[in-house]
Amino acid sequence: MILRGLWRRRWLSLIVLVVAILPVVAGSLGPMYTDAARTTLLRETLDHALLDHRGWRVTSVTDTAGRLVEHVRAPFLLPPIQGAELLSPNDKATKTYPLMWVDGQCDHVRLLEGRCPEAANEIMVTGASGLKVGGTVKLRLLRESGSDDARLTPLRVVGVYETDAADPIWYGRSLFPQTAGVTEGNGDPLLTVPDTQAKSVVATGGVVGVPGESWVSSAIVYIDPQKITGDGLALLESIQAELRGLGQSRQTTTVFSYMDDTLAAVHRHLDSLSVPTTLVTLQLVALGWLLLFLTVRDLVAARAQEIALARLRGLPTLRIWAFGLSEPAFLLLAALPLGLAASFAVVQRMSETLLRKDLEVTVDGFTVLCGVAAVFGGLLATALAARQTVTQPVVEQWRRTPRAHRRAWVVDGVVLAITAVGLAELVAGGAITDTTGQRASALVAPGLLAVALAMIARRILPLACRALFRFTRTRGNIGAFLAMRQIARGSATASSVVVLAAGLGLAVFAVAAWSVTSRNYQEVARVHNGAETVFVVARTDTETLRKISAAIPGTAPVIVTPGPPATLATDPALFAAVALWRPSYGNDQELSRLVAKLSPSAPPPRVMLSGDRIRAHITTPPLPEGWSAILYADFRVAGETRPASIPLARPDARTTVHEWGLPRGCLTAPCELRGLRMEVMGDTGTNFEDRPSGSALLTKLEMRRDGRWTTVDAGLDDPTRWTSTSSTADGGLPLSFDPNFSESRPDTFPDPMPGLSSGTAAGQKLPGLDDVYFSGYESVATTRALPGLNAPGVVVDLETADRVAYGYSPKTEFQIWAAPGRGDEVRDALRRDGVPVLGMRTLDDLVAGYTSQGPGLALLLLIISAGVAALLALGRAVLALHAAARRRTYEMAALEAAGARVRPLRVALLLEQTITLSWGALTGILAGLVAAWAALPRVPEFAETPVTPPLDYSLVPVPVIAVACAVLVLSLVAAAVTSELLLRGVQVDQLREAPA
Amino acid sequence: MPQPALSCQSLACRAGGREVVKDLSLEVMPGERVAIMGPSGSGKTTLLTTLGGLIPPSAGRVLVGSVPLDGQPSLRRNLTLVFQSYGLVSLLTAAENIEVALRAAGRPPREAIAEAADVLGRMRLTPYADHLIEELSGGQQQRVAVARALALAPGVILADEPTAEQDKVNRMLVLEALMAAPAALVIATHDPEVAERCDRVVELRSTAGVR
Amino acid sequence: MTPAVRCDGVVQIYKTKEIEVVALRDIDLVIEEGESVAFLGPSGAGKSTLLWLLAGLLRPSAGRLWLGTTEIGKLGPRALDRLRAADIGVVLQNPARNLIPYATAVQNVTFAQRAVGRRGRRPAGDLLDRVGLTGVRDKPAGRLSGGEQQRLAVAVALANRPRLLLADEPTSQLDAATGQAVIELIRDLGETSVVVTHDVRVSEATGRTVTIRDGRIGAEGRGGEDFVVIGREGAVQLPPEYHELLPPGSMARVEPLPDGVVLRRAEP
Repeated sequence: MILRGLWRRRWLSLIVLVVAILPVVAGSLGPMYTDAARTTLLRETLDHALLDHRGWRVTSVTDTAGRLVEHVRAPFLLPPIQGAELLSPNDKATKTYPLMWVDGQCDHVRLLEGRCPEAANEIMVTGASGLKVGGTVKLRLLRESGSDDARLTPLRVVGVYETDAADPIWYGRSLFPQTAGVTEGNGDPLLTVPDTQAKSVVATGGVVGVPGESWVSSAIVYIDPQKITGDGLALLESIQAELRGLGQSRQTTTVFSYMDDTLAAVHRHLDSLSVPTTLVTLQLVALGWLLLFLTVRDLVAARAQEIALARLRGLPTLRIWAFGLSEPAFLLLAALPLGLAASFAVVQRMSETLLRKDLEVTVDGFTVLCGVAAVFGGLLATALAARQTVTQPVVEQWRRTPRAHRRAWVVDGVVLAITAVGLAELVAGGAITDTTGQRASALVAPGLLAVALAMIARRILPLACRALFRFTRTRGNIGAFLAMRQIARGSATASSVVVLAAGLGLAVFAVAAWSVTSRNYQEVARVHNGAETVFVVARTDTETLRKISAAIPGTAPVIVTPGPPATLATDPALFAAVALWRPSYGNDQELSRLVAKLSPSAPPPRVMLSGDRIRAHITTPPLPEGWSAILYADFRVAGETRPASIPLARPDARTTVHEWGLPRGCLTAPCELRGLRMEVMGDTGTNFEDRPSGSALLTKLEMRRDGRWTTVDAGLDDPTRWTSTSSTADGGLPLSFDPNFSESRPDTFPDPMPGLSSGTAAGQKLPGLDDVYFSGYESVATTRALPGLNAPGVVVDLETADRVAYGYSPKTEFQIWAAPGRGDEVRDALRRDGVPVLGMRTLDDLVAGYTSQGPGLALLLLIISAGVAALLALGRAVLALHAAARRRTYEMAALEAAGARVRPLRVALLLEQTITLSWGALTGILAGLVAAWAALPRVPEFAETPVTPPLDYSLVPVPVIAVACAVLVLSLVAAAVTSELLLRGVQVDQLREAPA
Repeated sequence: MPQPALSCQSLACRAGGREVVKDLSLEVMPGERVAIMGPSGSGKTTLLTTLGGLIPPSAGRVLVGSVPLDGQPSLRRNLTLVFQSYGLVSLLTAAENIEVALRAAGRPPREAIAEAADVLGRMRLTPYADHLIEELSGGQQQRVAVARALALAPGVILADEPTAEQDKVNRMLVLEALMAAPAALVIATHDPEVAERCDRVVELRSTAGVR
Repeated sequence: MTPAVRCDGVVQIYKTKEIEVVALRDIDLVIEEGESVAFLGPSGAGKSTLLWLLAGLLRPSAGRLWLGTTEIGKLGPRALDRLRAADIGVVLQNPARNLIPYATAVQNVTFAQRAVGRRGRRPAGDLLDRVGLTGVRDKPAGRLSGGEQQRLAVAVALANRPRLLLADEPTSQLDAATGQAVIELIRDLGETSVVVTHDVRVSEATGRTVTIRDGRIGAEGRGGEDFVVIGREGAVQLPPEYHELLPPGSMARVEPLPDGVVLRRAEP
């Protein structure tokens, strides 16, 4: 019998079914979407992670690393890549080579000549190593098996290979310095087969198992991002803990991994996803319940007669309730599977377009539970809606004079009070100090505001119409006369206004939030990336980087050192040409003008030496009794980050020429003289006042290279080239004995460095490229943001920074920036030039990354579902008005029969619908805008709020206006169409029947 | 010879798929009162609505004066129907219902207000003038419907069971008021008292016919 | 023998938007078993209100009400429900309102029987026979004619063997012949019945009429004769036909007679 009843009221039943689906969809969408988003976050983080951030490299000097990781299994782990490595100088000790083999190495290299090694003691080399096929290499540590005195194993070169340094098999290590053009340091790996390891012996100086002098076996375990899902996170963490423990517990085992960083990043993102998503889901479910409440009220009211009849017949209360709720409950239960199916379809669509294409969406137990909870809440809403009809005295049904009833001011008052308090807290800053919760709770603002304003609005409209009663009674046409009264006294007015305002408020807020957030994402990405495409290259040196950039037009060399404060060293002119800049960052000035002040005009040349010995000609005055002096020279040596110091001379009156050995590194590559220090010491018993004064004079410096001495171009007699304070009229560099002036350095860089700063406190020092010797800087201009820096920092000239530094810290990142639009070309050019690219970041990647962070995903969910909800709300409002008006078409027919023309009737209908819908729409739009103004600055947009650039929360007018106009137009169209349909439905046939 | 206020020739009406009136010819003179009687379901309402021009006849035609009714909605304004279900706008007050009908017929608003008050007084409805229709009892609503018809003062009033809800006192009131109107009256009724006061009675049989 | 219905000083007041309305005042009434009574009176006089009170749908504001030996005013809502289910049958004015339109005739009867145990029920088939609707038992109630619907309503009202049958204007929406048939049906059933009506034929068919005017019982008719009822504190309602002789609002002298009084107009 339920089905027949539903069929009788089929349109209303259908509407209830559709509306019932909404809370189920909203409730189950959240969890499913969160699951998908979680998996997305995990996969995205892993996809974009550097090689050593998404796997582990377990090494051991004693055990086979592969066996150590054997028991670590998970569906998302790739099989371990095993290998082993022995670092040894060659027999002439001219170069140290890593001798290594790696699983599947032949598939990851390209053979330029020869073949892959197959037998023991065969190796293949890179082109840059200079070794030839057929040649032999002997390594000091590798001996043929036998006694310790056995001969060095000859390794035959059978092939020449080249490879991509960024191939996962190399785990992101800088293994190919020779190919990269670095002349000092290790050579490129000699690739061999495991048999070589088995069949030879490592000549160790001492104990077996000492790292560095024996084979190190390694196993690289990678995570396959395509196979990991959100549920796998716990397993991943336990694996990480286990492997980390492995590395810590054994001295001979080391685990190289940045997985901790990756996991930390994932957690940050995940934490920022759940709260916003939950809040969004709750608001949508609440909106769904509101819609359901109103619609079920209509359905039950349509059955009021039957219910009264049942009560008249004396059925007990419970059965009355069951009878009254039977139809809506049936629809609700039918809505559960339908809603879950719809939810599934929606999440699938959303994940395909917005998240990742490789996700499988599943409906798990929790989702079903949420759907059931939504249905349960819907049942409660239904019971509430039915309450009036089911419990009202039976006689009311048939009585004409309505009883006086209390107005429901209490509910209004409570809602308004909550909203006022909530808003005040949002705008004024709130007292709760929990940052995440407080900020995410800003997402509740639109719902609260919309409901509060809707409650006010629904009371105002009838009052306003009532005020026009007298006016329309004595003037105007009957269209307005009828419309005013229908609105003021009609039952559908209030609910339509509320529903429309609530739905639209959410939607407008969502649009505003999304447009502002998108804009912020773009801006932040622009600043953080700096250029449209940034290529991360291997860490070499400034000159190499410059050469790479010079070879490719439309690029800029950049070295970034994280701070605080962060430093970005670059070529100013190229930087200005390539970086993404907005004049508003820096007082409306162009970047080229700002960076022009960074490079010194004509820096003096650096003092470079190479060779094995140095000679200094120093004229020294006699020193007082008991006093002696030592002159130290500080050098910057390539490949190191600390200066090398030598005691160059012991100046005394009798000796003029002093000689000493240069630091070892000066043999293979030029090193730079960075300073001279005179230290004066007195024997015990000497008085401080007797210390020597005056200065020695350094007249010449020579260096010996390959046995020949050459003069060093040090500009000793040029006062502009040295920073000592005394004059240099004497044809040399005075080296003072006064402790206050005992240091001189070549004046190759300005001190403090000029820098373009953003957000840094004055007086801070920069870590410099070496991250060891902090140098001061002078801010030539302060800007609000600097391209390439995501923290307060300074942009300095690359050359100057290089002159200040003593080396390159491992923390620095060497980058090549590509001008807008040239990303692909530059990538190809880099590949062509054989430059190993370790990573590539584009603007779009960053923006996509923000979007896939927690807050971004939550906002996506908001905007999509708010849009659907708003449409449903509009539909519901229109239908309610339509249904209410339909009951009156019969009256309209009678009025027409009594002589009214159709036009005023059309006007009346049109006015009524238009005014009610527009009023509701305007209220919703206002609520959305106010919510955006109040709450947007507090809504989290990023998982970690960027420190720079400052985020802009001013509303983007175009989308909001577009949506508002679209909604108003839709409302008007709906009103017009409904009125037309109603008028057409004015059938005089109806006049034949008595109303029920 | 004076023209009939309303007449029909060989009228046939269909309702719910069957013919309820077959070959009816009738003439109602101005000021004449005609009662249409017959059991329920015999088509009284259908006949009235057809005579009122609200639905087209399946055969024959209706004339107002000498002009055929079909396709001339303006002529309908000389006819007023009092429906069995009153046909009042439930969200308007009694007074407003009459005012809106009068204004629809072309009276200026202030006149409409005055006339409405007057006719409501004649129907002893003045205390209920500002009550919403949905607040009035059935009998009161019926009287408002009659009042509306009277206020419009058309040439022909077609009334469908105008006294069904009334008790003895008000039945008289309604009847007196209807009879006092100058319009030609066609009343569908099953009340023999009403039929007594009419000039003529037309009986409809369920097999449709005229007597 | 206990009367089927007894009212003692029943008063009913309700509030509308602006004012309090006294719908019934000082109603004293006794209806014996098997009697069928018609309530007459102008609309709005309180006839339906009294009917609802008898049906247990309203609680009297004052006074007491008995159905047989049960005092209705003292019953809780659940007891009232059971009372209505088992002891009272109600027929409403609008035929359509008595029935669930999309349920068949039989289903309508069984629906009403749900509230009562098996013993309390009359077989549905018998009931339909009794009201002459055997032929349409499986037709949806919405498709029956007005007369058939009202007869079905009577059948439904009788479904649970009630002690009292209450009907609110059962014939007002029916034509003469059908109305007559329904009246005869009610009369022939022999149950105690109370019918609210202003149809003269109905009042002629019932044995006794009670006229309610202005919230009081003003007059009664038995066997065709009309009597004026002297209310509490001596209130007398003059029937309308005498209003010319003694206009309401005028003053009259009371002259005693051995078996009553005479009222004479008092000239001012």
